[in-house]
Amino acid sequence: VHTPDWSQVPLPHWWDEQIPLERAISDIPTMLAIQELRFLHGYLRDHFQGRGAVVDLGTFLGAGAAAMASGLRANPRLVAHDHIVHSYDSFEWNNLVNWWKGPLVVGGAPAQLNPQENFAFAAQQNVAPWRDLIQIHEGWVDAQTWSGDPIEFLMVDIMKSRQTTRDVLLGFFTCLQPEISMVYHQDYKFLNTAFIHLSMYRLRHHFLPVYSLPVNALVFRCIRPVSREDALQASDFDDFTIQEMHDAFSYSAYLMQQDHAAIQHYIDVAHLDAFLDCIVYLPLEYRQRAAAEPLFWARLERIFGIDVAGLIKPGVAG
Amino acid sequence: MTVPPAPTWGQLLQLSARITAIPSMISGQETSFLYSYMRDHYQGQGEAVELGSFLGASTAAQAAGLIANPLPATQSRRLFSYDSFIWGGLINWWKHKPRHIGELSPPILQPEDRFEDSYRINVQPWLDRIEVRAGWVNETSWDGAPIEWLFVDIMKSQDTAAVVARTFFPHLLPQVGVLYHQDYKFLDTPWIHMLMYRLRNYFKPWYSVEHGGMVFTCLYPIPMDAIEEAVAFHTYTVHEINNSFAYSLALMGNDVDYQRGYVMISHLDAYLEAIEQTPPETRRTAIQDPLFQARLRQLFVELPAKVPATPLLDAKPNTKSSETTPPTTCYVLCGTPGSGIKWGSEFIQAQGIMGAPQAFLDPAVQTHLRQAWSLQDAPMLDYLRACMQHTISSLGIFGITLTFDHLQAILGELNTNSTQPDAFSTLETLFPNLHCVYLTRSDRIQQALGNLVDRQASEYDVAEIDAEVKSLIQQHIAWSRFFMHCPKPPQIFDIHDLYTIIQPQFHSMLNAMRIEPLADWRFQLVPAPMLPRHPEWGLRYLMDKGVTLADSVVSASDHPES
Repeated sequence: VHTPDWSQVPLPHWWDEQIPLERAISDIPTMLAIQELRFLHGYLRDHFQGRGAVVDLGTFLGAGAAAMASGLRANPRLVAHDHIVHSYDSFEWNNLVNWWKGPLVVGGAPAQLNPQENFAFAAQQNVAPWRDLIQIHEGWVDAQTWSGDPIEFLMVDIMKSRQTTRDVLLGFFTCLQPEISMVYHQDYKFLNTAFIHLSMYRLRHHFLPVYSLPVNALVFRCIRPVSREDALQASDFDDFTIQEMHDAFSYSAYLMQQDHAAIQHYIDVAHLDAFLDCIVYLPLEYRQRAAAEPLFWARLERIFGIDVAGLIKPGVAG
Repeated sequence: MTVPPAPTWGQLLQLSARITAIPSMISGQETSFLYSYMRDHYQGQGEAVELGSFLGASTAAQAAGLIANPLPATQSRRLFSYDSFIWGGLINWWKHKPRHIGELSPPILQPEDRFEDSYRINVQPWLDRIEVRAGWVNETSWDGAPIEWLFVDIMKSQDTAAVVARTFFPHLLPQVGVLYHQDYKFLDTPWIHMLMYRLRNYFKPWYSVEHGGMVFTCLYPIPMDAIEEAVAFHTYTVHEINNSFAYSLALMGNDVDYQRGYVMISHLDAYLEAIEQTPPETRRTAIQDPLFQARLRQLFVELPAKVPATPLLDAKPNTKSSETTPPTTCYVLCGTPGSGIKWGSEFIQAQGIMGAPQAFLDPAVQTHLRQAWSLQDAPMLDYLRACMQHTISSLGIFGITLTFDHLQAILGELNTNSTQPDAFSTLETLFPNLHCVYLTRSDRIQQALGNLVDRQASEYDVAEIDAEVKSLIQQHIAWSRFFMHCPKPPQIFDIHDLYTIIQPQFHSMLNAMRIEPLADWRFQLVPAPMLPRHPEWGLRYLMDKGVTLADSVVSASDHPES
């Protein structure tokens, strides 16, 4: 596979500034790294200009929203202090029950919710000190969720599927302002969100990678408006060629070349995951037939150089 | 120009034993088609080209058909037969198997071993109508002569597919040229589907060979830029890949289920191929990651149960409650001694869905079972009913292995004999919904020798071997006569085919009996035993009989005409 030369693309700045953070923020249970909370606080405090909204997609228990709100509060440029964080989450526990075993609230009890239960109450409780600066929106985000107002800072932590990616691109990315707006991709360096890489690759002429955090996130500045057509094209995942998919991850790997090897490995996994995503959308019968076929497992063994059946099938000797 | 497919194409022809004895991975239906096509439809307007000769079975079928073709224009034509004749990736498929007719003790293969000599032995009777082109196809060329018939069995990689398309497709005669894709329905050649999809305006699907490949006719001259576009596999979008396979499946509407399944797996394989294009380090990293492993597990292990679209047989527990329930399907696994019945029985039992076929009439087995079931003095038919009750599968299927002697014994109990036209239907009164699965073996001398070894023969005795060969042929003829009166034709498998392509053969067996496996069923591989049993006796016997290696198979073949 031909690998393009990305050397003309500027690499993102490495962000490792030690910004002090209120104890009330760092105490909120979260899956964000402390560096991320510092960045969110620091960016909103020092760089936010007040020329668009602050949107937090994926509130969880409120740590990110609190970090952004506290940054807004400390921002000396904001005279009127009329900006708030619009924080969105479905707050459906069944999406997170396998990922989070810790407490729900600051100093509170560990999660003991039923999968069907809603945990918005926990987020409300955790962000209480910044209640005046955070508006929590409960429910699933779609392309119509946002009012269409200009957005200056967009924190994205809900791109967990192709459909959500499409909705976020259509509903929020189209409201970004060139040279002003920033997109904080919290899952950029995670391993099973291949569609982020594919979509950002197609939008690479619209976004400049600006900051790279030690874990999880890459931050982009919008440099060209994203039209509805751009958003549709960037999220038309069946329209990608095989070469383009390879190129997308080559581009991401280039942007992450300063990362720790363990983080860079995630991009390898995401790269392969992009093709597994294609398989997921085929009829289930195809996988059922493949799984019953010894030659299919032999094929996987050839690809990965290891007895995959022994590795992932219970009761099969490795 | 395209004529309807000939009725003979779907038939399993009784080809010369000299052809069917050649070791091969292609099915009898496919060999029949190749022969029939070259005999009845090839016009001689362009050259006939075979890409991927392997050991020559397909070559022989095509060349024999060509020779039998009465058209004057075909008389000067030869079959251009290409192969690298280097084992390479085939080695694990064929490590211990014979390479040429009459080979008695095949040496263990090495990856770079050549097999052109074996090929030439196999196709020797037709060599004057064959132009052998040895070498890798990407290092060879075509002189530009128009091609009327192109047999393709070497598209094993994207690169080879591209070379074949570039080198040969432009020379296919419009409105006359025919392309046969042997691997169209296999499970790991996805690029064939993609290629043929992008070239679909140049090719018309003509005929799908059961248990074989797909035939296309060439409609228009294929320009090189169309070919280059079609072989640029990295430029296919996901959408286009998905469409390619939808197109292929649409062409296979009447194909057997396992072959449609292979194309579905091939569809997945298109994306696995993309994964394989990533650097090895990327793949090594990914497979070590627990979350990636979990993803694979979720995709291919933790699957929801398969719900059969049309459940043909209801599952029944193999408990006492089934003792009063007759089987819904019965089958006899039959053949001649040493034709592979014992291994076939072990293989079927291992699958767990077709019961436990046993040689219930074997004296030792019978004594043991009668004692175990307290049926020492019971009539044979009662004993057989007990066998049914005890070994019926959860799907309600019962199987029994029979030699011809056993068959006669049962028919005698039913007051008939194997030559009676109603013998099969009489047998069905005991075994409802009966099917016959007949295992045969082309290397009959080896079969005879194996039987003698099993009977502890300690010394070479040409008369004894003669007698055993003769006995096997007589039994085979007796079976053939019995099958002539069967309303359901038997499924016939050569044991060599079963060893090499066992899974598709087994699927075709299930399909013929309309057996739908349950959701959690998984195919079980059962190692095949080595067939050659006493090679030095075989060589000596051939010398004593004054026959060549090639003649040996003809003279001792299990085909009626011999």
